[in-house]
Amino acid sequence: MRVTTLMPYEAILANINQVSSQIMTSETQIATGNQITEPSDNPLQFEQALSAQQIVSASANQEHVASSALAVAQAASSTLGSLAGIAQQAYALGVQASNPNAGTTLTAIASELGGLVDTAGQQGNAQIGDIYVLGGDSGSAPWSATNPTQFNGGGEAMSVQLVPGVEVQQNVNATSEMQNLLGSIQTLQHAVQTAAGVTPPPTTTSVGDAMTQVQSALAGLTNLQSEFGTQLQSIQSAQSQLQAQNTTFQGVLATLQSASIPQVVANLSSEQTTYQAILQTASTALLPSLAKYLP
Amino acid sequence: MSVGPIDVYNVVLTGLQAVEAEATTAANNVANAATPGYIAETVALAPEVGTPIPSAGGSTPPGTFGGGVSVQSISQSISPTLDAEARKTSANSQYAQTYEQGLSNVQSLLQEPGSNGLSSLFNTFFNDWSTLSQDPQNTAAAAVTVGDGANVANALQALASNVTQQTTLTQQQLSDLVSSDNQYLTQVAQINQQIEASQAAGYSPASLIDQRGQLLNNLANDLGAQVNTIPVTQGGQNVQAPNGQDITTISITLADGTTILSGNVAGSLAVGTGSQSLSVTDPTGTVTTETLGNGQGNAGALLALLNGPLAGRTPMGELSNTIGQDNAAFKQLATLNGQIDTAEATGATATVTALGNQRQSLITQLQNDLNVTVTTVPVTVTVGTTTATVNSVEVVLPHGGAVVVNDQKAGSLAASGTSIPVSVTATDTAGATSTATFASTDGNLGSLLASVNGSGGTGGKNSLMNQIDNVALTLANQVNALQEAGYTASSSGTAGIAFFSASGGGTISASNIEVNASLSSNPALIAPSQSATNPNGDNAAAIAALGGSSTGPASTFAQFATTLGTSVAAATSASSTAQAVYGQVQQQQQSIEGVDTNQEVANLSLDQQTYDSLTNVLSTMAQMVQQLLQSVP
Repeated sequence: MRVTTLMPYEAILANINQVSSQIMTSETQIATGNQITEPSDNPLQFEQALSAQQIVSASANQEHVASSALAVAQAASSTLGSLAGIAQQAYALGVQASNPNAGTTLTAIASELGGLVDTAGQQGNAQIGDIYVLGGDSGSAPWSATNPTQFNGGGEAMSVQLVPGVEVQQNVNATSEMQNLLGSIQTLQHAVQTAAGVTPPPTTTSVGDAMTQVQSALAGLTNLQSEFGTQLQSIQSAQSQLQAQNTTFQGVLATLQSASIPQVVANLSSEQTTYQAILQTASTALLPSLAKYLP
Repeated sequence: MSVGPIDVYNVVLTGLQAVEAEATTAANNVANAATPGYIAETVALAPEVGTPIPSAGGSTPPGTFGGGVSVQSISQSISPTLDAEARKTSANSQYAQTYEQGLSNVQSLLQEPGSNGLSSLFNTFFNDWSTLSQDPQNTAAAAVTVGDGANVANALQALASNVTQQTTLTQQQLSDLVSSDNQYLTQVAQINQQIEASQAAGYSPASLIDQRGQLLNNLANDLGAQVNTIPVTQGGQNVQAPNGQDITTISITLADGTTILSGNVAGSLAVGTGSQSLSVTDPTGTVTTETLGNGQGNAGALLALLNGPLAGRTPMGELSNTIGQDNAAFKQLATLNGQIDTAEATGATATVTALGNQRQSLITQLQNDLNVTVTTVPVTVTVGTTTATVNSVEVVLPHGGAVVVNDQKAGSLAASGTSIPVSVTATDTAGATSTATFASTDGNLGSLLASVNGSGGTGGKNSLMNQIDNVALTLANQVNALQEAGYTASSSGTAGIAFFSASGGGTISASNIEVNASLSSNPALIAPSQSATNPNGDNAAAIAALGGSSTGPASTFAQFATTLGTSVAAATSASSTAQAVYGQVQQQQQSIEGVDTNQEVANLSLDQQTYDSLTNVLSTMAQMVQQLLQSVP
């Protein structure tokens, strides 16, 4: 075939364009860290990467939700423990008050029991974010010293969906247990005040009967704490599983989306070598013509 | 008759003139080696018939003395077949490249994959709902959810706006191209006139032919124009050159045979209505509408884009979207009916209320779209050992139409096609098909159907704008249905309001979607709960689940982006192939018509030797004559 002057130029230019395009693609992959920079690079892999991205994102969020729910559940469990401790303190004070020689200390014991009611009520208002650890919502009447047996909590326990279709309870409905506790400690306080000679007597219940009520409230709290412990373990287990799942999905996403930098650098090196070779070839093959060698 | 020095001088003179002609031609070829469209010229020489040698007594002359050499012609090495093939493959290559570029430009608007793309924004938005489900009374979480919802709406609006801008740019490209092509046609007509005049004078003007060739290439690249050689006629007779050959000119036609130039008379082009066609006026003044076609140059590609992916928002596309949304609603309603039936049979009152609210939202959507009639139907449900008769719903199309939802069974709708008149076929819950009747007042679909059939809104069904609208509609319909079925997070919660609305009212589209203004100003109106009396995050969890749903907005967008990516990949491959094919043809054409500098220089070298030899002959002859003269005493 007759080779004219323009033909090698056009061929070399086409080759330069082609290699330049490949170099541009490699550079973009390095700059973004992604092997897919546009959907058209690999449509099927792009769609798979989007799906994986959504799963990773949702999984990370579920892990975050599980962590938040775990914080609430741990706070709820801790609060139940604190309340049980308060019940035990109240019972111990009742024992002191039952001592026939407790005469002069009865007033102080009554005052201390009043303090325990305040403390227990405040515990009942414990929140993580906007969630009351003992159930209920912000619409309930707040605890106050003038209404010491009322607390914000007392509503339904709040469930959270850790994964679609799987719900766990993150806080606990402790309405009756709290009311029993607050009522029994206040009754004990009143019984001690009566024993101390306060008139008119705040209650007709004896110290011993009041202590029985406190004991009953303590038992209720202990049972609730034990039941809730199962929920807490569920959330902990779910969080661990979600962590592991998240790691797995991130690995899948990396496989689909991330560029292998060593591979891309090797490709770039090869393309640059080819590019230089084309330029060198062009400079040696294109310039001379017969005219150069004629005398 | 004898020969003398004068004859020798004449012979030498012809040789020198022939060499000068060759040298001039070679120099012209080398000078134009890189000129686009230049066709190499060659000099055709032929020996001149000389004087017969006198006979030495016989009647037959023993031979003739040479008469030297004459220049027969300076011609171009034209290959009409390769020229036609080169124009055709070039048109195809330009079409493929322009179409690929058009689609690639839109693809780059998606910013996918990337953290600024819609898929990432969807993930963030639905994750916000998941977070809200854990703490539904958290006002900060509600505000973040509303804010990220606004980000999604803004991103959809920006995408729609960018696609519209791309459409406008493409229309402008087409307009500019038509403008330049009209100039090319005028120039070709003028050059044809000059060429005819030259031919009539007896010579072929190579430079004019080269200029015309370049213009023809431009027209082929733009319009897929084809060139035909036609005789010049006058009074019904072919006009002839002095050498007796017919004078020819050219006509230019489009692929479907429409003539846009004939000899000295040029037609003209104009952009058609809506920039979706060309209005072609042929040399006789007849006007036709052209959409060109596949492979027909840059204009063909621009028109294919403007009639397809960049067709904008068409009534046909909106009709298709509405039918798609309503088919999805039928299925969702059927599923909800099943869930509600079970809940009623088992006495789960709270679930019945929550799901009932969702069902009502879907019914409202269907009533707005199709003007359906909804009736209560009793169904018998068995759950374990419990059997109960509960009330489910049946949805019927207007004007005695098909039953499209009956308890847990769903039918569907389908458009008959894209050619008007378009009708809608309904498949009822028993699988029977019939033509559905929709008056223009029968909801959104009735209105769209009237618009399609009244305004010729065909084509563009798969335009990118319609597909982006579908993403916005899916997002709004699905989120709004759940949001409106839910309650605010309070022990005395209020019913939820639509999350997304249309800016300025009307039907939601990608161009006008926004977060409900009431929600923007008061995020506490968000409805994460499925209970009015016991705030929980169940509704928020249901909305969060849309993020991973295969029929949800994120999946709809992913399908759209993937389909576009597939189209771009196909266009890129087609473009590479077309360029490679054109490259090969171009090489072949160059091989015949191009200038080989080495060959020209070699010829020039030979001419130089010939010139030297002739001058030596001349000086030798002169010496011989001088010697002869000196011998005379």
